[in-house]
Amino acid sequence: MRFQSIEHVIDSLLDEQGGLPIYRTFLDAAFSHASQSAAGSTPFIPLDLPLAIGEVLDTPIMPRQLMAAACLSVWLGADLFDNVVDDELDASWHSFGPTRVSLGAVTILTVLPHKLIERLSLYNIPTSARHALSVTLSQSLWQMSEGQFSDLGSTDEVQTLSDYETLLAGKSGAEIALFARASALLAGRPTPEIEIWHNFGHAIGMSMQLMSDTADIFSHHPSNDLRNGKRTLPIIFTLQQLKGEDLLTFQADLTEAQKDDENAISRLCTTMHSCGALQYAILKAEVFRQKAIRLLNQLVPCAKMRSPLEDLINGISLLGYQS
Amino acid sequence: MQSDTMMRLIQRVTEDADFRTNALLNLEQTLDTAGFCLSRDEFAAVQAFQTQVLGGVEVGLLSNLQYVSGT
Repeated sequence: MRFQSIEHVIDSLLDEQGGLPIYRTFLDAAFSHASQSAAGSTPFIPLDLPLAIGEVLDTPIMPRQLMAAACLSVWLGADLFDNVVDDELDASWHSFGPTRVSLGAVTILTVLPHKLIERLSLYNIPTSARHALSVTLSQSLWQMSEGQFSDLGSTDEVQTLSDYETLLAGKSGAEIALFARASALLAGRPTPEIEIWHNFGHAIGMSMQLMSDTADIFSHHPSNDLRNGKRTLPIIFTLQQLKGEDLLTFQADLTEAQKDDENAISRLCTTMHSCGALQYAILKAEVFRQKAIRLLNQLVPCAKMRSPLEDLINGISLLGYQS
Repeated sequence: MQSDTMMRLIQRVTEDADFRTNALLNLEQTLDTAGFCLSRDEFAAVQAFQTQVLGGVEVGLLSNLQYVSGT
């Protein structure tokens, strides 16, 4: 239901925009992809975070939905682009081809959110606020572009925990920080408070990306990141634990994994597991989630008022689904 | 290469059975005695995952990880 209302906002914009029928077919396919991601029972952060912040800060419904549509658009463009570069586009995209999907993804990521922000003028959001939102969006997109750029060279460039955290901060950290910051800005909150909302979103983004990277290694076989030569936290952790012959074997298997050697991938996962990489990564993700909880308590002292956001943070806890 | 407090903690958990037992009984005191200086968020994270990290209980953890991360 929440997705349909946001989809309606986006459809209105695309209807007004007009243009080539095949381009509209592509955009409809892209938002249908987003609809599938939003359909699960876990929180869908690009949509649920701006809507929940809007609810907590009492932003009027239409501007709140436009903000959620802009955030969804940023997420969708970045996700599609990521899928192209990681060679993870499913068969439904083959009729367009990766080059066209890349072009469309960049438009969804960069142009569409600005057009949605422009539409806030229909709901009496002042020019100064819309300008501030556009500036925030551009700064965050720049940071995300740097993060993606770094990610594409992560095999050689990400060697330490610090490199990895910088990469994460530029990707999901910057993205989810944008969703929280823009929602607080739209609600007209004072600057110091907006900074805390920014840090709150950043902590959620870091936690979720850490969980996603860890799931890719331990729950997704064969791991896409190992096949693509990415250096994520469980790998960096294990490289720091091993010495001598064990380290050389692990490094050799990392190279073999990029040639789709499933035995090498299996050995890598076993070694990472026995070194404690799963526990380490889960703890690191939880530290950021705990930070988000602490910042939320600071932002919204009244427990009843913060419950929509508390539900959302609890929904991304690994402990939330254990019987 | 640099390491962090959590990394040193996991190393200790992996290597030292007595440390695991003591930490399960009294987390704060065991960390303090062993010289682990955790931030408020780090302590809350270890406390939340005490059974999984210190007790080695991983049942459901991987499936939840997959579920929460959406992969």
